[in-house]
Amino acid sequence: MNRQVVVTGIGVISPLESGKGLEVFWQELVAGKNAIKEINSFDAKGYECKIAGEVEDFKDSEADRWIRFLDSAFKQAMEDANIDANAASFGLCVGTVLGGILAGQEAWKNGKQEMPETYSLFSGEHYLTNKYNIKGPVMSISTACASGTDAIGIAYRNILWGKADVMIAGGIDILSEFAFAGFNSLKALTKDRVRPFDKNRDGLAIGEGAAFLVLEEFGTAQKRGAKIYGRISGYASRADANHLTGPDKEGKGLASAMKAALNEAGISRVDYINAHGTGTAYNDAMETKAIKLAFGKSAYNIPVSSIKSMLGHSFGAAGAIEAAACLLAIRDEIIPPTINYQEKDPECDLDYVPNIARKADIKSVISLSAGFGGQNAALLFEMVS
Amino acid sequence: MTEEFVITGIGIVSPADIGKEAFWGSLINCKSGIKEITRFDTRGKKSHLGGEIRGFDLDAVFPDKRFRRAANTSKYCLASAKLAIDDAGLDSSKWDGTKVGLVVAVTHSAINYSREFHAALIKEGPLAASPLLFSDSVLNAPAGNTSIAFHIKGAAHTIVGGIPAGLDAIGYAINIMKMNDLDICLAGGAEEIDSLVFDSYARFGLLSPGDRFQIRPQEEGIKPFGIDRNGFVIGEGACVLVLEKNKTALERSARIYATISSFNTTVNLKTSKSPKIFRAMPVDESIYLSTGANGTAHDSTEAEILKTEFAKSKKPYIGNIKPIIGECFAASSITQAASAAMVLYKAIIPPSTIRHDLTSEMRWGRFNASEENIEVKTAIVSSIGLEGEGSFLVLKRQIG
Repeated sequence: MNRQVVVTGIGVISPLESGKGLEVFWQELVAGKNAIKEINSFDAKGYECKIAGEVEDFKDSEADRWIRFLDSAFKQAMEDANIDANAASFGLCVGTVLGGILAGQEAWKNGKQEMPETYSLFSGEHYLTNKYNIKGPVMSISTACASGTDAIGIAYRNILWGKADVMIAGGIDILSEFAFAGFNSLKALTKDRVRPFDKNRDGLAIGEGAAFLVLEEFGTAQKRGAKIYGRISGYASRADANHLTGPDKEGKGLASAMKAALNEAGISRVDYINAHGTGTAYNDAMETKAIKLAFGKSAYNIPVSSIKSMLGHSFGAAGAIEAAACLLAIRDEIIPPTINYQEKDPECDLDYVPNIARKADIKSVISLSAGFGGQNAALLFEMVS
Repeated sequence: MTEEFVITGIGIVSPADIGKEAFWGSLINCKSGIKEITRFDTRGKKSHLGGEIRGFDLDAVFPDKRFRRAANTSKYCLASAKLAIDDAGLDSSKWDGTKVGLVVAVTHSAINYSREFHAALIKEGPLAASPLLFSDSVLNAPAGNTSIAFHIKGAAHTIVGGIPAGLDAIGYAINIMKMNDLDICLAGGAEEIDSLVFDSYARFGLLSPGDRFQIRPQEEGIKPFGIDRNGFVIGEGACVLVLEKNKTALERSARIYATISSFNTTVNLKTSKSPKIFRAMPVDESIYLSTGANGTAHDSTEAEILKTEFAKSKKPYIGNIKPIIGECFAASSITQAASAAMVLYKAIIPPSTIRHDLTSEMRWGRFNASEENIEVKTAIVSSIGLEGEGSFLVLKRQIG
C-alpha cells in the first residue's frame, strides 16, 4: 500500500469568521479571539447558560441553514483546491450529529406531523450529490462528536484503498435549541466561558459550523500541480464500550486510537496535539490521561491546545474545523492557543499553550475527538517536504 | 494474497420472525409479517399496512437492565447482535474486545425519542427535557449501546443512509478489519416504525395504500418489479452479521455461511448508469440474486442495471424479501445479505416472492414457484435507495 493522501483544499464556516473565509478564520484563531457570545438564534431564557458560538448568518440562498453551511463550506474547499466540482470525479463523506434538526424542530413546534425533506442526516449528502453530480463513493457518518474526524478518516482510507483518487470530506452541525437543551439536561454547559484544562472549567459551550477538506492521492495532486497543505498519515477510531454519555475515565480508548494512528504513520511523537478539549471536567481530565498513556513522558514536551475555547463545540463540525486548524498550523508553523486559561489543575498538567499563540517548528500534528457512545478518533497530519 | 472475509454468524429481528431459522421458515413458506398497523391509528391515512414487530421482548433474547429504556432501534440491534454472536459460536464475555469492531447502519433511527424530548422541551421548558431521551436519540445510540453490551472496543461506527446503507456497513466493516487488523467485525442495520416517518412517506405517495379491511399482503403489499406496483410498506427490525477473517474462522472451525467476494458502496446511479458491480460475471453459473426492489419507481432503475449486468449470463434466480418484511430501510439491505448467505449455505432457493405481473425490464429472470435444492456458488445482493443511490454485494459459497 504505497498510496499517499494529501490535503489540497480547505473550506470552513465558523463562528469566528462568519463567512469571510479561511484566512480570516485562521488569523482570528491565532489571535485568540473569542467567538462565544450571547445567543441570538433562540431565546435562552430558562437556561443557566446563555452563550454559544454562533455563525453570523449569511444568506446566499433560500435553502435550509444547514444546507447553506454545507454547500458553502463544500464550495470553498473545491475552489481552494481549484477543482471544478461539476466536472471532476470524486467521492464524498459527511459527518454530522443532528443534520437538519432545525427543520424538524420548526415543524414539530408548529404541530406538523412530518419529517421535513432536509431533516434527515443524509439529506445533506443527497443535496451535494445531486447538485454536483457526485459519482461516489458517498457516505454519511454519525459518530457523535467524533463525526467530522471519522468522516475525514474514512475518506482517507477510501483513497488509500484505491476506491477513489479524490474525496471531499468533512463535518457539519448547526446550533439548535434541541442540542442546547440536551447538553443542558446533561449538565454539561458552562455558565460563562469555556476554559479547557483550567482548574475552574465548568462545561462546554455549543458552537456551530462546517468544514470540508479536499483529499487527493499524492500523485494525482502532483500531476495537476495542486497546492498541498499537508498529508494525512494515520487515522484510527476506538470504542470505549463503557457508557453512552460518559467517557472511560482512564482515557484508554482515546490513547489506543492515538497509538494506532501513530503506528500507521510509523512515528512515535508529534509536534502539536489539537485536543478535543471541550472544557468539561470529565473530558479534559480523561484526555490528559490519554495523551500521557499514548506518549509517555514526552507528553509533557508536546504542546496541546483546544480551539473550542474560542469556537465552542460544534459536534460533527468540530473535528473537521480542527483538522483545518492542524493543516494551517503546519503551513504557518504556529500553534493556536487555548484561551481563558488561568489556573493550573493538578489533574491537567500538560503544556496547553495558554492564551497566546506560539511559533513552533511543526512537522506533525495529531487531532483528537471523542463523543457519545464511547467514540474516540485520532487523525494524524504531517508536513509534505 | 488478499485476505478473505467470511460471514460466520447471523442474527435477525424481523416482522416475519425473530431468529434466523424462523426468518428462513417465513421465506420458505412465503409467510409475510406485513399486517395492519397497530402501533398508531391509521384511520384517515393513505396506508394501513406495516411490517411491525409485535410484543418484542429484549429480555427474552438479551436480559440486561441497562438497556431497558433504550429506543426500539437500539433494542432490535442489541437482540440481533446477541443472536449473531451466539450463532457464530462466540462468547463476548471472553473475547478480546479490542480486536472486535462494529458498524451499524441506520436511516431514521430513534426519531420518536427526538420528538418526545423536543415535545417536553416545548411544553414544559428546559427542566423537563430528559437527558436519557436525548442521549438515546442520537443516531449512533444503537452502535454505542451494542458496543457497551458486547465489549466492542475496536471501533463502533454508524453509517446514516437510505436503504442501501446496510450493505455499506458490510463494506465498511471489512475496511475497518483490514486497517485495524481486527479479527471480527459486526455489521448491522436497524430501524423502527414511527408514525411521523410513516406519515411523511405517505405524503410523498410512496406507501402502498393497502386495504384497511381485507388485508391480503400478497396482493396489496409490496409488489417488487410489479407492473401495477403502488409503493412500499414500511417495516422495522434489525439484522447483524458476524464477519471474520477467513483464516481465523477456519482456525476455530467456525461454520461459514459465505465468503464476501466484492462490494460496491453507494454510487450515484443517476450519473453512473453502469456501476460495474461485478468484477467478472460468471456466464454458466446459476446465481441467486437478492433484489431490493420495493414497489416504487426505482424498481425500474434496478431492473435495467441488472438486466445489463446479466445480459450474457444464465438466468439468475430472483429473490426479494420485501413482501415478507416490508421496507425496513437500512435494516432491509443487510437482511437481504443474510438471506443470500443462507441460500448459499443451505443450498436451497426459497420460492420467489414475486408472483405478480412483471415490468418489462425484469422479465428475463427466473422466478421459481416452489423451493429448489440447488447448490448455487454465487449470490448477489443489490439495493437501490429512494434517491437513486445503489450498493451491491457479491457473496460466494465457501468451497470444501
